[in-house]
Amino acid sequence: MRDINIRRVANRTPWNISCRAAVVRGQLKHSWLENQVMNKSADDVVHLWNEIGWPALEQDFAARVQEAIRLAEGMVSGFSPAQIVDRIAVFQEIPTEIRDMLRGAVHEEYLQCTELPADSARLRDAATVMGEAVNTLLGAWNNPRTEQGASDIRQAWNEVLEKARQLAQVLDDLPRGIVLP
Amino acid sequence: MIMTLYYFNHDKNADMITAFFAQKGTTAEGLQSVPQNGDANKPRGGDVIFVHWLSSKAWETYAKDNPMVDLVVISRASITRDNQWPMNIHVCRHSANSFGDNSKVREFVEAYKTDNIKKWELIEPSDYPEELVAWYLVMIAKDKGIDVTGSMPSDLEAKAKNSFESIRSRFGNGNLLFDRAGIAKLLQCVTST
Repeated sequence: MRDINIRRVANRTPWNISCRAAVVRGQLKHSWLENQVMNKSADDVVHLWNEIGWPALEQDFAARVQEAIRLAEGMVSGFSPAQIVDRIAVFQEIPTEIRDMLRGAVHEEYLQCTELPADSARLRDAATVMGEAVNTLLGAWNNPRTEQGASDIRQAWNEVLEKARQLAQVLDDLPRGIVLP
Repeated sequence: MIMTLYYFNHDKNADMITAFFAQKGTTAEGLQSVPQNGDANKPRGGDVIFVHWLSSKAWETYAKDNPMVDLVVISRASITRDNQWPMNIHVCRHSANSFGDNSKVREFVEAYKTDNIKKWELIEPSDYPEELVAWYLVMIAKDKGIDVTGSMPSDLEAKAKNSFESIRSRFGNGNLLFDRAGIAKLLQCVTST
């Protein structure tokens, strides 16, 4: 029970105050995983492989994996309330050194209650295994258009789907905006 | 009539909606928040705004105040229409095929195909009670031994308290005090909705 309470406090994101990390989270989960990956069956992918090709897979997926890893690496500062100090109008009127102290204090308090370092590790791990599954699929993509080739694609895609669902779940657990301590 | 189609998106190069409409090669322009009276690019009657989800109460208020502008919410299947939403808010599911399942959306898409729609981009609104958040951060700093209250405008606390009381009454949580702990609990209520 205590863990649940801590979790809720750690993810306090009222009004989903916008930040770049939340935008990237949304892009990865919705634009990539939900709209490009998880909406396709093995049959759909075999059809693409066999008939018309799939430029997004060959040109974008590896970059998306790297983007997820970069999000993991920059996540703690990416959701920090320190960045909102520079956006709030009344704070722009105070001397720079006082604003710096305020920013530092807010960030320090956030670090004490956030669980994002653990989430960061989960995201990095999930993105890494997704990348491995994508690489396996890409390795099979240039195989001859045979029944065995189709079978390899099917198997590789099912692995991609499983890893994509795991990665989507990790992304779903992340904050939707700046975290307030 | 030339209709303007606005849409909320994560960015102009991503997402299903972009992909769906990008074939037309029209130029996207951005608005930064829920349209306000006086905005030069304010939608007019007959215009349409696509949004991913109603992430802000401000959208609902906007729809009520602008009944001639249609809002289409692109939602996941688990999200259903709220009975309190005005009739100019429409919902369709979060997949490319679901555009065709919704008669209102189909009407918009047909209009778009005939070049009667100009495309715009609207990024996620993140309106929030700035004074209340500012005061909360000031309280956090004060608890850590950094007192910046003397550098704040004299009316900041009063404005923050007004915001606090307004939100508190909306959640029916009259026991919360206007202090750091009370604000923190209120922020949690906002987060949970």
